[in-house]
Amino acid sequence: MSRCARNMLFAGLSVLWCGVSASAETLRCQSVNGNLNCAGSSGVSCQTVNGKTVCTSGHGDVVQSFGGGSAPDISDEHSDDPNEPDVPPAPPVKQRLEQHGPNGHTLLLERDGTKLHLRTDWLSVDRD
Amino acid sequence: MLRLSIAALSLLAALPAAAQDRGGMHMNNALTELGQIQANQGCPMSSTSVTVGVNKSTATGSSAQQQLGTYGGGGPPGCRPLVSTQVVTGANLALGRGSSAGQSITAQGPGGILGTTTYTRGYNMGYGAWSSANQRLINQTGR
Repeated sequence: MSRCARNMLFAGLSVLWCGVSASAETLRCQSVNGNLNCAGSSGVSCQTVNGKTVCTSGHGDVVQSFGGGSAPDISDEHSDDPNEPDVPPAPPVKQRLEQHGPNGHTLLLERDGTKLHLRTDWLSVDRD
Repeated sequence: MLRLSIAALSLLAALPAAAQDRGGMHMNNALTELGQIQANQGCPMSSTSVTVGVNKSTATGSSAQQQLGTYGGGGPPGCRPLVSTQVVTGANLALGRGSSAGQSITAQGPGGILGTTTYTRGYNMGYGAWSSANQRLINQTGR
C-alpha cells in the first residue's frame, strides 16, 4: 500500500471516528414490569400498558407514572364455588431506570417491590 | 427370543400411555372442573391469540401511526374455551430527528373456564432529537 493511500485511509477513519463521537447521545430508559420505555436527548416517550402510563423525557426533567395498573380481566362472572382458590396477590412492581451519558457514565435506579437499588460508577446503595 | 420381542413391544406400547398421564393442567377441584369440561361440549377447548406490531418513523420530521386490534376467538355464541392464552407485544420507534411514532394495540378475548394466561410486552423509544413516541397496549380477557 502506498504512503498516499495509507494517509487517505487514516484520514477517512479519523473523519468516521469524529462523526461517531459527535453523534453520541444520551438515552434514558425505564422498564416497568418488563416493558421498556426509552427517550433520547430532547425526545419524549409515553407508554400505556393495561391502563398504567409511564412517560420518560430525554432531559430527565419529566418522568411520570400514573394509572391504576393492570386489570386484564374484564369478566363480570363470579364463581359461586366455595372451593375455588383465592386469587393470588399481584406480583410486586419492578421498575428500572437506566441513563447512559455521552462520556460513558451510567446511572441505574431499580425498584423491586419494596427494595430500592441505586448504582453509579462510584456509588452503590441498597435500601429496603 | 419371541418372549423378549413381546416384552419390548409391550414396553413401547406402555411408555406413550404413561406419558399421556403426565403434564396438562393442575386441577384444584377435580369434580367441579370435570363438570365444567363436560358442560363445554361443542365449544373450543382452547383459545390462543397473538397480536404483534412494529411501528417506526425513521426520516427527519416523519410520522408513523399504527393501530391493531384482535377481538373475540371464543367460538360460537355462549361458548367459552377451557383455556385461554392472549399475547400482545409491540415495538414503537421514533428514530428520526423531530419524528413521531404512535402505536395502539388492543386484544380482547374470552377468559378460559379453567385458566387464562395473558402476556403483554412493549418496547417504546423516542430516540431522535425532539422525537416523540407514544405506545398504548391493552390486553383484556373476559366474556
